[in-house]
Amino acid sequence: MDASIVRVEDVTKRYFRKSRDSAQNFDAVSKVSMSLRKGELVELVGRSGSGKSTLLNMIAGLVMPTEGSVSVCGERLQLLDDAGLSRLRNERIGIVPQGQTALFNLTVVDNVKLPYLMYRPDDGIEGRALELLGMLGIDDLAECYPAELSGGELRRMSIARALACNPDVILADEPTGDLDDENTRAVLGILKDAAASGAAVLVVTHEQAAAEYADRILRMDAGRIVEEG
Amino acid sequence: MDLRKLPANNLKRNAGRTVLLVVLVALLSFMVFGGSVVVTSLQNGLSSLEARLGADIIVVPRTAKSTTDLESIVLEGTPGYFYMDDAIVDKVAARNGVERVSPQYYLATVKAGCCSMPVQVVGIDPETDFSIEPWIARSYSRDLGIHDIVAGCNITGAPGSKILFYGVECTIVSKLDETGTSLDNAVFCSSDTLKDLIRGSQKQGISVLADNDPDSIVSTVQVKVADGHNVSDVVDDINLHMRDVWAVQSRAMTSGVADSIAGASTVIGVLFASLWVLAAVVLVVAFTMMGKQRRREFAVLRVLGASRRALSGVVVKESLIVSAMGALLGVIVAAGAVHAFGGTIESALGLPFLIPEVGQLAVFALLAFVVAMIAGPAASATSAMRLSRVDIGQILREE
Ligand SMILES: Nc1ncnc2c1ncn2[C@@H]1O[C@H](COP(=O)(O)OP(=O)(O)OP(=O)(O)O)[C@@H](O)[C@H]1O
Ligand SMILES: [Mg+2]
Repeated sequence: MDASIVRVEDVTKRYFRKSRDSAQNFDAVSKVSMSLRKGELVELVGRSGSGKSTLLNMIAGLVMPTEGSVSVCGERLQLLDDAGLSRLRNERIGIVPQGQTALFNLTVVDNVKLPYLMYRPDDGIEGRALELLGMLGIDDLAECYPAELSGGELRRMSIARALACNPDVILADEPTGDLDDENTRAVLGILKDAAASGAAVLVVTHEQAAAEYADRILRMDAGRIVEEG
Repeated sequence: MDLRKLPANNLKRNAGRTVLLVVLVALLSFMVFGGSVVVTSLQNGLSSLEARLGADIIVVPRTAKSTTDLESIVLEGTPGYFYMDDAIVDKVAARNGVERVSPQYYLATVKAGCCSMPVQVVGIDPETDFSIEPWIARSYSRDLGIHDIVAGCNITGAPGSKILFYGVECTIVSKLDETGTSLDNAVFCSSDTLKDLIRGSQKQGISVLADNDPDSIVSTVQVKVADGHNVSDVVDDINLHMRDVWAVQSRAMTSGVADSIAGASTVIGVLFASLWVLAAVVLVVAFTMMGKQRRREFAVLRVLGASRRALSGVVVKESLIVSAMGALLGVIVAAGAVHAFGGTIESALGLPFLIPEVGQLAVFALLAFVVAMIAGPAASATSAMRLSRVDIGQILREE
């Protein structure tokens, strides 16, 4: 048995896309195979539209592949029912999606606590949530509502939320997109620490700065992984 | 804050949206409840009038046909009277197709202790009556003794109190349900009591039948036609063979009134039904739109690990809370309105309008509550279902 906690095998995601004068099938991700091991931080880079988010979402079970298979923690996602997949996602995977994902009806700290409380009793998660917010430098905003936060602060909140359940797999889609250098380093440092304590981390990024944290870099182009190193 | 507390929190945090939805639901339940009450009140009014028409045929003196307003005396209890020989009763009973007959006796009071207006006194024969007694039995189940009267609802005096008619002291034993017609101003008694009243009036010298023996007269004969016989054939037969009387098909006499009521209640029913449908549609659209608007929020919950079931639970619980508040509000306001304006509606419509009993009102309230409780949550559940047909990742792409 190898140490891969995420296994992606020959995965394709096909969309039907209309262009100006034709309509055709189009593979956003095409026959991709890759894996993630415990304790490593892997960076996923590539041009806009190359299929990074699509691949990450398939690993998260948020997008179902057209072909191929995805396994996380030994479970083939396509074989799980909705309850099983949801539970796996909650217990094992920490996701920082691309774009805005705050729940505006909850305070910052409640946003961070919510995934934990979905399947677990309230046993001191508040302390961990505040600790995470502190590591990300926004613990003073804990009782604010998301509408009062800047884009970068919201992003940091969603990173804290992804870490709240101590996930085995962390999937972060451009987590440093709207952060300054200092915060970018802080976030990457936290993700690196998570990897050091045994998680498998996949980070989609444009930043060159990220390279120094990565154990491996995967480069995508037109839906394929074209470079691995 | 876990998923169980999320619905209440969402409602609180979006107070404006919540209030709007509550008002919308309240409107729907108001219309379902109010509409049911109005339509049923009209139908009650109609059927209480129809109960008066228990007879298929009413036989009156031929002279009365031209001289009095039969319809209003016989059906609506407008004070008035006419008499004919009581031998008529057996003669009518002997006609072909007649199943049963029962005489009725009318007397109008000039003045009575109870009332500023003349009161129509209707005497029935307890032995044979089939048209009035079933109706009286709804409020008074024992036999009518001598000098016992059952009073229409507008007659002053509680059960047990005495009224003097032509010097004869009578006891009110019961009050009748409202009919919405001038029968509410009438009193009912046994034929023996009525004959005593006639004698009383003769003693006071105000009788118009000074020369008649009260024991040998009747005012009308109520006829029930046997099964298998045509009512109008029996009417023709009586009119052809009996000189002194005039037989009227009671339906024909009242078809004007009954038709207009039936028409009105149908129109109002249809109107309300379409209002309910409209309100339900608006509600479904509102809840569906809200669901659409919140797709991203719901997708985020799924990203964090909420199952389809858990998400639908949150969404449906939210709209159940909203619907319960709205339904309650709507029913309470409607009940208040019926209570406050029922009388006004009655007099404004000029139709027999009988507000249903508390039990039935409770059923309507429940109905309105259930309808309102179903529309919103069903719409929400549907949008939650629709949401789960799409990849969560796809929804996150929508901006
Ligand atoms: N639901 C969809 N229908 C059609 N095309 C889609 C759909 N989702 C993604 N695509 C296409 O698939 C391609 C890959 O998209 P994806 O979001 O994975 O790119 P990306 O590498 O994450 O880009 P970016 O760096 O800009 O976020 C794009 O060309 C996009 O237009
Ligand atoms: Mg992307």
